[in-house]
Amino acid sequence: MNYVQLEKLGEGTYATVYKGRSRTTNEIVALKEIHLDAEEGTPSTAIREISLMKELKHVNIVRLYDVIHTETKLVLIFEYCERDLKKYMDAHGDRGALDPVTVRSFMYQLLKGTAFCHENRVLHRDLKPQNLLINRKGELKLGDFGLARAFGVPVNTFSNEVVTLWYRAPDVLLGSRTYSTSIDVWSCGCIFAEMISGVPLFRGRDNQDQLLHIMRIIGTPDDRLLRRIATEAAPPSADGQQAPPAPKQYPRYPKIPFQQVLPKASPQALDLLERLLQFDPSKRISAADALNHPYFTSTAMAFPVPPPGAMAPPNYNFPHPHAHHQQQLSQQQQQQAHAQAQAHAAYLAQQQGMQQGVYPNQATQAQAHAQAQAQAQAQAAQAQAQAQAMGHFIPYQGSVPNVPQYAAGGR
Amino acid sequence: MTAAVSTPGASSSTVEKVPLYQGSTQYRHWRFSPEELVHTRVSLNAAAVRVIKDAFEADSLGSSTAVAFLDANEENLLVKLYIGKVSQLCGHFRFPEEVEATAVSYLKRFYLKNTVMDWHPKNVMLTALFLATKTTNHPISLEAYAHHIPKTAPSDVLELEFLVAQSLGFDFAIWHAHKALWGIWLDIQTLPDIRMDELRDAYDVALKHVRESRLTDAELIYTPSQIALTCFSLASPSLASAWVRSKHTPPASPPTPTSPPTPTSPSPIPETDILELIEPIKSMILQYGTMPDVEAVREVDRRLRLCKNPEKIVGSNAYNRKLEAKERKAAEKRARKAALARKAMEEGDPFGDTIGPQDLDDDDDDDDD
Repeated sequence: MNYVQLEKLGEGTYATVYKGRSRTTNEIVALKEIHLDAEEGTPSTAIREISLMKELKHVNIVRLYDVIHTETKLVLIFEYCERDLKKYMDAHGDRGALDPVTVRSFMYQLLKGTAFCHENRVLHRDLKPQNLLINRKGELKLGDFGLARAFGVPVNTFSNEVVTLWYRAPDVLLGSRTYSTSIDVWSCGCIFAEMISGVPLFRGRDNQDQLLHIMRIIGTPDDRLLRRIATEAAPPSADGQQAPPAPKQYPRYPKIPFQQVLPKASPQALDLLERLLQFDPSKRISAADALNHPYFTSTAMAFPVPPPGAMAPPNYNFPHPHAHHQQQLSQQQQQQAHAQAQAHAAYLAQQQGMQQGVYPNQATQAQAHAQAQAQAQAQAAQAQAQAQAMGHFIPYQGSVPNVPQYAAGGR
Repeated sequence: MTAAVSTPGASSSTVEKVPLYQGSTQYRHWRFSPEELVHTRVSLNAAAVRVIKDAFEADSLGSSTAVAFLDANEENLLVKLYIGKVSQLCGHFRFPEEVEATAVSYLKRFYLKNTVMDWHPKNVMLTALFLATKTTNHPISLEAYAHHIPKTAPSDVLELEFLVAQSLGFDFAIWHAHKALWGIWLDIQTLPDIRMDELRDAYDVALKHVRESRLTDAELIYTPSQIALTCFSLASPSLASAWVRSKHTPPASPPTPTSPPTPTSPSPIPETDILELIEPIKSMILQYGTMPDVEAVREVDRRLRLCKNPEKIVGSNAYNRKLEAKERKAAEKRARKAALARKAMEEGDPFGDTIGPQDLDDDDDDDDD
């Protein structure tokens, strides 16, 4: 437990992050040095981050290895990741836009990590490309839990917390304080669109402007919804904070189909995006359900064929009406999707390795994955046969108006 | 062949299958058998007495013979008194139950790593409570906090913050019995033929028992849901068994993740087994869930004044000697570091600062010796 401090990686509001190397294992880590507050002691953001991170162990969440303190500083030892998603997109994207295979892999991992947080009753509250870390294996990990909250306790809003607006859910922008897991889901949707196009989807200057940006694309919701969200916003508090104004009038923007906004995206990607970016928080899909969306589980990626050997072939998608089989299938689907994400991670590593010429053993790994792929294919075929033997399918359950439902077994 | 495929997916999915509670730091680091708990306290006490005796002897030879040191039970009694004080303070500040329960857990855990002869629970309690307001997201400014507590300066609270955090191993998240009880209360409402007034009364009584259980070792031995069920059973045996039955008639309702009575076993345990399992918890709460006799504690506290570790008493010879030693060591370390840095510069090694055992050692001297 002895670390050499290397170069500075970044400076946050309450911490400075350095790269570090373990003296004993030579492992590279990230050292997050907390600025101590003479007035209040250890900042509660840091305390909260430690508290939550100690309980969250998941491949798609940055691991907190250790906490070290001396009389003058507190240092959190984190798993090291090469770069964040923003930098990854700049370096590997086509003007920021990632290829569909990578987008799908990252999106899967993002939702997986988010679902795990939610299952553990933790809201991240600040998901954005800068907080998603990518390691050299192509694994995506949620990081920076400084603003995260355990929910189940009322969430107080603090004026001094500066959070990027671009990924903030409209209900939060409208002052709702009853928000829950759906706010992270909104952020996931924004990040999804950004990975596809290379640019942030909604770029507002301030709260109001951000709302208008959102409405210009997904349309102005009806007054009833706006009123409902406004009533969920907290009543004026004793310390003289202003009550939210009576539902404001907004220009009535029509909805623009996402297809126009993101012409490159596949129909399934667009459908998932639609479900993630619902103005009404209660209509937003959950992270766990999103993982079972046909975008991840369907038979084919409608859009460019993944490079050969990069990915296990996708699986049959629709949940089956018979609970037992449905469960079995969805488990299989999840496993397969997971295997796909892993295979893809290896593929990414391979690509990077070839570019940088530093991973000599990637070839054998790729081979192993090709083998795994063949296996997965066989399994997928089996699962599909099984499903078809049952005779009838139902479309993916959802309630998005104006979006064509999938024809059963159509693609 | 199939195994090769399923390995990546399967292995990680089995990891995730572990019930949430079993992945928690509480389950992994802070659960003991009754015997382990006794052993931990007795050996901690013995080690502390040994060290403090030496400190006395170093101060003046033969001075430790007349001192009646506290034993493990007496230490525990004193801590118990201050658990009660946490409750009073929380009432005063109107802190939510979550804060109070968390502070109590911190206090108990702290004294599984430290002795009251080094750190008086009066001070530790204040820091534990302040820390609990931060970890449960009910922050209060230190100024306001200290202002409302007699004879307490902000620095008194902050001084121990690191020590307390470190003793807790930075495991701040706590699973509470009162939350599990809330889950049972919600669950029971969904059962058929439940009279709400009867249920409400039972819940109120059960919550009272949960609060009593905080004065006992229950949370260090049993799971929150076991304690909650016990308290419900104390309040209304019939409602408690109705709930347990509903959990173990398979198709009726799937087990809720909030309150599985026995998270370790996936197969249903017969109702009688569960109700037997909570018997020792019942007697523990009934027997020990009361405030200690003030006179008895006063006696302990009086003796504590005489057997406090002299190295922790500002101004004593032992304290000064310890301080000198510490400063000498710090100076040595600075010199060593400077030499290292010089050497590194000469060799062109760009790596600077080190965070490591040396730093921690110096710190720990203060706490442990």
